[in-house]
Amino acid sequence: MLMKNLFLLFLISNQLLAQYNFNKLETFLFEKPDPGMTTEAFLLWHQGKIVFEKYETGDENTLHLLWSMSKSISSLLVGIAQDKGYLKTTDPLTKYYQKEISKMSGQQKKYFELIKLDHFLHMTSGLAWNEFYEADPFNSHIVNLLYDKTDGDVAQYIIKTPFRYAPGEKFYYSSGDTNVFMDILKRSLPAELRSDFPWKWFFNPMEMEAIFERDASGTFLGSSYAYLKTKDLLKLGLLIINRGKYKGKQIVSEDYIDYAINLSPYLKERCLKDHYMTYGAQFWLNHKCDNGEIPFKDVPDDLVMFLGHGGQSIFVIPSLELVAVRIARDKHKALKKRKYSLMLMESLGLKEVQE
Amino acid sequence: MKKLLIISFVLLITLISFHEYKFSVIPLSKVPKLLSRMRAKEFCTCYFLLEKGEEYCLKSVLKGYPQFKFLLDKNFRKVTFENPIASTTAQVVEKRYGCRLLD
Repeated sequence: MLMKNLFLLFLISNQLLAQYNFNKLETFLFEKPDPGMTTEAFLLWHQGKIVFEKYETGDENTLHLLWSMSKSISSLLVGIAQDKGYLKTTDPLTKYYQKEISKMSGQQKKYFELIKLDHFLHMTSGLAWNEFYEADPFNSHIVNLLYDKTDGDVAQYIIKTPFRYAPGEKFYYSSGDTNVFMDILKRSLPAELRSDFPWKWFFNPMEMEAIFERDASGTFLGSSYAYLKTKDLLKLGLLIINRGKYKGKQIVSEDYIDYAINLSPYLKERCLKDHYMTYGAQFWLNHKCDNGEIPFKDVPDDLVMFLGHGGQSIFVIPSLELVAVRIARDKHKALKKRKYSLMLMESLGLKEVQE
Repeated sequence: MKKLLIISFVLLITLISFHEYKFSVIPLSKVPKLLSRMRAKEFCTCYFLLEKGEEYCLKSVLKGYPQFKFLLDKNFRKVTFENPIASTTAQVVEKRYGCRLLD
């Protein structure tokens, strides 16, 4: 009986493995990549196990600076704080910046009286922020923030930026928005919790070894400066697949995961006009717009992306039980995300890619 | 001579105005300090946190530009970058909070 079962198991696993073919994907990532692409490490998880991994440099224990992938972790931290009753995403800024707002005047004061934490999570604060690096570094708020303002209080620098739009009117990808909500998160917590909360509630329960930088006021620089190992990046993807659970323990509530990986309410009418992908609360999405359009045709609309500088990414497709971690040193926008998504699916025997 | 002085003065004012307009977020006067801070921070991260090695990290932060003075203190996990106008030191004070710019 045991032999028969083992034989059946062998046949089934062979059948499953037969669907997989990673040659084309490996060629695309490592041997003949598109111009500007450089993949350092890649790891693909499907239906309960790692099915393909390759490391050009380092291994699964190599630590990486996550740059903008940190934003998605920051969003999850807000979710945890909400679950624990410290804040609400609907909180108005007047609750946290009463002193600062009382000193403002005119439009700045009017908009700050309207603005909510939720606007910052969805990148719709409306602040006239400049988020670019190489293109015009000396006219960049993010360069100034990361290299000149971290020895002070970054949120105080950001909230002095004038408005470009009314809150909620337009999406603008801004590290300023992320660091403001991280300051709000800090302010919402009891003093004794502030320096430890990412570890206490997230990194330690997730069994992750992390570095997370702060400014001199103690605000975690959630826009850019979290560090994790490759194997822990996979856990981030699995947290989305498992709807906030890790090893059976609810780390972030399902409600917050739904909030974070669904289309921003502020993008509905202008969906896809603001960007070539859709956006949730600090997560990039392939979510359908109200008019039925989808950013990446033929890719499931539940695709969730953690995206960071240099093309590093975590692609998660819950409906296919797929997580792909890519560590890279790409030139700006070198990775064609639709093509990459389709190749991931094709390698698992889920879709054939037409060249 | 007087004409030349006037032209030079007008040109200088135009240049300064252009810089102030163009670099409206970061004033020109702050650029040397900012460059030393960028290099110190990026090298500190690359060398002490990501452990990529001195040669790799220097190449990565300098991007082909010259470096005037560079001091690496492995014992105290700190690094100083200097240019003719400014100097900055970055240090790992507590590893889980990464590198901090000290000045």
